[in-house]
Amino acid sequence: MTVPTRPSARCRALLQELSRYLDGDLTPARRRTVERHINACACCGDVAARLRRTMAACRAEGKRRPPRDVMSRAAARIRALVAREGPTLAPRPAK
Amino acid sequence: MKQRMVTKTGDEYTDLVRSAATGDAEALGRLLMRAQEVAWRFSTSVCGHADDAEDAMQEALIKTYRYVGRIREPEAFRPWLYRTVRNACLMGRRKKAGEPARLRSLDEVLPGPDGPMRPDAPHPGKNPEQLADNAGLRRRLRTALRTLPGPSRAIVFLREMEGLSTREVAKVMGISEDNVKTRLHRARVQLQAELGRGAK
Repeated sequence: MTVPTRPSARCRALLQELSRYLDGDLTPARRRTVERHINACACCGDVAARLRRTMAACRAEGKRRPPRDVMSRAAARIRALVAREGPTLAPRPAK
Repeated sequence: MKQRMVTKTGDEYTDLVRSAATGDAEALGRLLMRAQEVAWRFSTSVCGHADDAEDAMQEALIKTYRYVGRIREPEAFRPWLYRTVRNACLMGRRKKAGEPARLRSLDEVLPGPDGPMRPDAPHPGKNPEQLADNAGLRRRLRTALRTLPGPSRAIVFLREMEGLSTREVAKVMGISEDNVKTRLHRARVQLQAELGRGAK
């Protein structure tokens, strides 16, 4: 498959829709159009693959948890707050 | 247009808020811990100031405790929490010298003869999950995030890392859903260009 050095006007228009395509946010007709194009066009197919990898990397980063010492201090803050204010919230007034 | 389904995490928050508001002390404790974790992640990922993270966590803790008993719509808690954390971070944030004021244009980052998005994939043959597990990639991602202006970084954080819907992100950021989608696309394109550059 040959890779164009510069995207055509059509490629550029479709690239604007790539995120919506990857998010499943296009109508079925537009989705099919974008899908056909990225399967046929090496340049756009490459961009789509890279965007997918970027999104996957972001999702992995979102699973990060605070270090143990930070979690310990967070738990201590909760204990101090509960000791000061009480372990439960005041019940909501009836509507 | 289809909306992304409410995430499991979003449902979990709603359940915790409901239980905490009716006097469940364990649910309240878990919710207060979640609020602080969100504040820590936002602080370290978006604001980039680890020193300020504990202040943001304290703020999130106090405001969540005060707010949960009054909330009428538990589904609204999650956007409220992220808005609160964002405000706490912005309040405590000192403008970093050299922070980008704008996203680079698509012309600057889309493929071109000498552009950053040449078709030589940095890790051919690996699937996204394998790459995401790569510690080096995660380090490069953090560096790449710093090339985005603050609001775009916040949008990427909320949508990609925390899994908020476009509608929730729009609520947190105080902008339209279309604006979120446009900024998110440009931010993703810039991030992947930066990641491609960092892999060379």
